[in-house]
Amino acid sequence: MPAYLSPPERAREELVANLMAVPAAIGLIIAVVAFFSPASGIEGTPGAALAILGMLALTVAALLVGRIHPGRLRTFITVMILIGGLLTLLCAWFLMQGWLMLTIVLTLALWLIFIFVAR
Amino acid sequence: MFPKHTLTAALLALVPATGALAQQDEWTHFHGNAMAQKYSASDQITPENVHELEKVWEIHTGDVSDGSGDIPGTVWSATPILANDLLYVGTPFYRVFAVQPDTGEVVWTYDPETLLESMTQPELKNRGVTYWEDPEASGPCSKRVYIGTMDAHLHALDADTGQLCQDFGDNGILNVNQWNKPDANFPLSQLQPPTVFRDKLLLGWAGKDWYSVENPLGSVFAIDARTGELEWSFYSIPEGYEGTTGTANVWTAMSVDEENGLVYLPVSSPSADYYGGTRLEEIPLATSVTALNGDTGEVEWSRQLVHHDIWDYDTVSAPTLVDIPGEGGSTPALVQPTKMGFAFVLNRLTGEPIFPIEERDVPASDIEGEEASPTQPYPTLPAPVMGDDWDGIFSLANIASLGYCSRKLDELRYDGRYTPPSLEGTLAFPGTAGGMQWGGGAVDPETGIFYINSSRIAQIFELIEREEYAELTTGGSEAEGGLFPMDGAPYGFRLTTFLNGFGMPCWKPPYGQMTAIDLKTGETLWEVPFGQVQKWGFYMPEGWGSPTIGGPVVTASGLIFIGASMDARVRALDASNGEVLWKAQVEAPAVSIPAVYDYKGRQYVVFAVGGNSIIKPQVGDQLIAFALPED
Repeated sequence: MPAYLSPPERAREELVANLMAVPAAIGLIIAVVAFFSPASGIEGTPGAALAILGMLALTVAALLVGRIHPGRLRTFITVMILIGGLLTLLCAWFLMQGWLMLTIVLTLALWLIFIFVAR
Repeated sequence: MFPKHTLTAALLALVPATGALAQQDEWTHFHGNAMAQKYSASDQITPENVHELEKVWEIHTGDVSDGSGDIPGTVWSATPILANDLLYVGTPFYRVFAVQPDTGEVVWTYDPETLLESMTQPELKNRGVTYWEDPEASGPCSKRVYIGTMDAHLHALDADTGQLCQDFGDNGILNVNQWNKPDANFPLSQLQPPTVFRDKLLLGWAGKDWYSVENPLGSVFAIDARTGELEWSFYSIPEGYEGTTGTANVWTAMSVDEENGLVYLPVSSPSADYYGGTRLEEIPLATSVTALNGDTGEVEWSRQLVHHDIWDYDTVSAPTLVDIPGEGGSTPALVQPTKMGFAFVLNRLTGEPIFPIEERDVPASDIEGEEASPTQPYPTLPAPVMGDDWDGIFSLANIASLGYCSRKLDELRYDGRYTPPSLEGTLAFPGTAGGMQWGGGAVDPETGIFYINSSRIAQIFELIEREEYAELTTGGSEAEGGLFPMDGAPYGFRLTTFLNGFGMPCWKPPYGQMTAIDLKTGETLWEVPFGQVQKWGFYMPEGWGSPTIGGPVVTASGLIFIGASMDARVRALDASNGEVLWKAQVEAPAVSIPAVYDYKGRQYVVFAVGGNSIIKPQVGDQLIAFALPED
């Protein structure tokens, strides 16, 4: 059975999840710019496309996870954020996109906070 | 009264001095100067401040194609030329841009309106322009810029305005193909800008030598820089060989020793590239470095670097001329880089080796009709940039491909350097991609240290019986690692790079490196991986290095500037140890030689960024200049 959360607890979770989506969304923008920028070094490459996909998934997942009641689905999405974040971080490392890596690290840091505030 | 030759000698002695002065400010030749030294005496940018370099201007020429439309893909390997207070550069569409050296503002452009078709090379290719000043004239066309085209025309332009010089050729355009044989299977493409020797232009040419056995015989034409009239011509293959071979042309730059009146030709391999059964007689000038009297075209000396070349080991770059400093005085030398990874160091007046060259036994051919040379020249110093044995299977690539690399290796023939092409496939290390490439090396004439980039590429050379070949799709190119018809030979040919199914090299890294050689001793001072391999956008570790195309420039302040790498970056290296001190991202691999010059008290480093599909399918049209901040 989904656990009951008081309105303040839910608001806190949703806030952290929304905050998590902010660096993820910024990372998404960085990845899109890199994909289209001739001087990025990764313009139009499958690697850059993968980074966009990864950041898009992180952003959507971050927005979703704060809006879902505790349960299997939320646990699944929470774990997927970690796995997806780490894989995208690896992708960004091989793409040598420092700013993108920073946004992912921030996203994962907020994910950690989310874990602590979420039940 | 002075004897005439004494006076001439005295005047000629002034030439290197004025040349040295010119080096301070300008970059007047493809290789910086006529001696192909790629040396800049500018010292404003130093190892200490190079990290402050910033982009000061860039332009996009618009002359770029990825080959997906009607226009073939482009390869832009032009060295910008600084002369006459303007920066000149040619483009792969054979246009000329004259721009302000400090702002990049376009002053004039010239469009030859030539055919943009791949008549010889599979891609539209240009290595820039030539600049020449007439010491006996003033006014329009006393200073000229020349641009060649793939359809074998040379255009002479007034350097101030970009207008055609009407007294040259036919109203400013010379048809170089008039000296081609009438039934030739390709035009004498003018992709490499002419080399200047006094008031002459020396024209080599590029062709389509991989296609058939019978090709035009390799030649160099010396023409009057004012009129385009033929002064002399040189042929690398003796008469009587027609129908059995061809080429051994000079498709890359030449170098000039004005003081001694000598020009140096890097002569390529004869055709067919990978089968020599139709040309078993000796062709002594093929795959050689050859010195000619610049006034007459007579051969002064020649040294063959590969006997009976069946690996397409063209002599790829202009030899670098340098007086090697020593206790007993300097030695007039040349350094000839090669695809094989050797740097031959010769006395440039006699052709005699400065470090001993041995004739070493090499493997025999097992192909019917072929007779590989039993020995090949082997310089004992400097050490080759790649060892005598190939680097071995790369475990990561082998595991990723579930053992494909090692299984494939078991099928191949490999008996060390110069293993001849075979029916089962020969592992060639280095392959035809080098080793060293057409960019050549740079030398600091003060220290006698030579710097050069190189690639470590393993390729597979596979001869294919004619009947079997006919069943395959014909065409292809080196760039695509494809099929080579070699029409007229009993075999076709397939060239592939030794990769696994994921495109990973099956041989161990590094794949490219930078090397410093002390020419006084022949000792290798340092050798480091250079550049980074990039696949699908992902950068591989720096220790893997990158295949390179293009060349370095060394400065008096101890810096090496170079693009050349697959990762589309330009870099400055510490000349004392090869450490990367600065790098910048550009829009495609900068497969060119940078220009380094002073202008109005500021030092600039300019790269033509155009790409080359051989190392990466990424093209560009960016001309970009870097300098220190004005403060």
